[in-house]
Amino acid sequence: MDTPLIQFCNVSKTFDTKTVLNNINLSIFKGEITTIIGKSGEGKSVLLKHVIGLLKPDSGSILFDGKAFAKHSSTEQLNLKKKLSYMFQDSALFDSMTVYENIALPLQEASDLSKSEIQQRVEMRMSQLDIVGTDQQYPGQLSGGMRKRVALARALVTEPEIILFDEPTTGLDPIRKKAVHQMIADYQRKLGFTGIIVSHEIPEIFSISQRVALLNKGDIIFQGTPEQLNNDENPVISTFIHGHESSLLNID
Amino acid sequence: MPQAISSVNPLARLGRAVITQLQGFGKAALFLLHSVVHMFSRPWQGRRVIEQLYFIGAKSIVVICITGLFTGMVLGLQGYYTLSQFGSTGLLGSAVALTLIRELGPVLTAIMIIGRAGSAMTAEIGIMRISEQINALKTMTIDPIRFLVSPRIIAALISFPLLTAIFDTVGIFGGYLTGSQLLGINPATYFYRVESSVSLMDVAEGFIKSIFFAITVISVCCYHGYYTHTRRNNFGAKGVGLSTTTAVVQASILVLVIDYILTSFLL
Repeated sequence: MDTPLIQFCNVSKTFDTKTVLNNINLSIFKGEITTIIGKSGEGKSVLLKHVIGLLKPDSGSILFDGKAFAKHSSTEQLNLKKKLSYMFQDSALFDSMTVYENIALPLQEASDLSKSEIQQRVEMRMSQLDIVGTDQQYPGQLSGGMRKRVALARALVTEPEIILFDEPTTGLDPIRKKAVHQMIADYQRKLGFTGIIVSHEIPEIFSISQRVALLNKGDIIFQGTPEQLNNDENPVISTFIHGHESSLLNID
Repeated sequence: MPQAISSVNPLARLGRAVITQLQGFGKAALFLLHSVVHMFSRPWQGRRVIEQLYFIGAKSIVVICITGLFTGMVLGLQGYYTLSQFGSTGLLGSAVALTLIRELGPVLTAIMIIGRAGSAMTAEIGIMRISEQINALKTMTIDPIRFLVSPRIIAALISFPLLTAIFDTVGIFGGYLTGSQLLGINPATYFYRVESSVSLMDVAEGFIKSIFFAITVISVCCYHGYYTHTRRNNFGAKGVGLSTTTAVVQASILVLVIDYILTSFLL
């Protein structure tokens, strides 16, 4: 098998006395969409924030192309960061900027594109995500679902090579949820980016994922294809996948 | 066990408090250095500087004019009754102008800006911190300190001296209103004393102070907003509120302390 693009090697993270990630090992492969599933509050977003460098592991290392991030030269680190994009769970839109300014900001600040090229790209993303006409509105004037789509447009506008989606469809109606999943899959095929998605949309999310990892009690208890996950006989996994409420209580 | 000992040992507690304070000073110094260095980094943030010039400078003019006018008027009244005891009311113009230009102008301007713009900066940056907007900037490879703090420092370096000049001018006019219009000092005498007693050095002293105050106020207010998430046991909106209070109190005290230090050097 190829060298993973991103690899977690024995990564641990503790907040005060709570261990969120406990010696985890996880491989993300280039050009694939990997979905991280798990119960709420298990540390999926924490895991994602380690990839983009917002959090540092207490122990263990995260390798990019087989090399620890810190061992890359400063230019390589910057180039690596520019390849990444992050869609936050709560959108994290700039509330004092308009929708247009929010989406255009990463291009204005970190690219050499002209004003007209930026406008063209922003308008294209807005049209794809069905948020045309909101460009002069502020995030506070939008519904939760629309804010989510603005955040998605901002994450996609730089055409990054690695995109981290933290619950991209939570709060969307079923039609838009399907459309967003479809759009992620289409872009992935077209642009070939590597995606890591944190999602609770089981089993819908499996249709666009090449790999799935299940985080439980700070540990990755499964990583493999969606088919392998469905056929796994581990009771904790099948309980989570099939969502039997009575057994869910026993996961702990 | 060592933790248990240190929690009851007063010496250990004192040591820990001193170390925490020193770490805080170091962090604040690095924060200021980072912001100042990025004032000169390209690309220029012209639009953001203009936005902040409008917010810190233009929108403070009315407040500064009102404060300056009443400060000058009070100085006129107090000065007149004090000088009249020595039969030297003719010196009122000198007293009002020198007090304003060398001392009250820069200090009161800074304190008014802390209340009007500094508190808003802490709250704005604090909310950006707790709603992950600062993390969003980091993920876009945008340096948050460069983006949020450096333009504010540039704008303050321009605004503070100009607002101080407005405060001084309006204040001198306020002194004229009470001294000449209300209490009957000859206007020509009042303005002659203003002109003859104020030297260029006095004006420079006021401006030097206002530049120091600009850097102090903006860095303290932005610092408390930026690190609002590190406040112990105070999260969310409550944390932002407390950060704003701390920023206003700390910036105001620092302005007075720095004023004393600068005055002792500049006199």
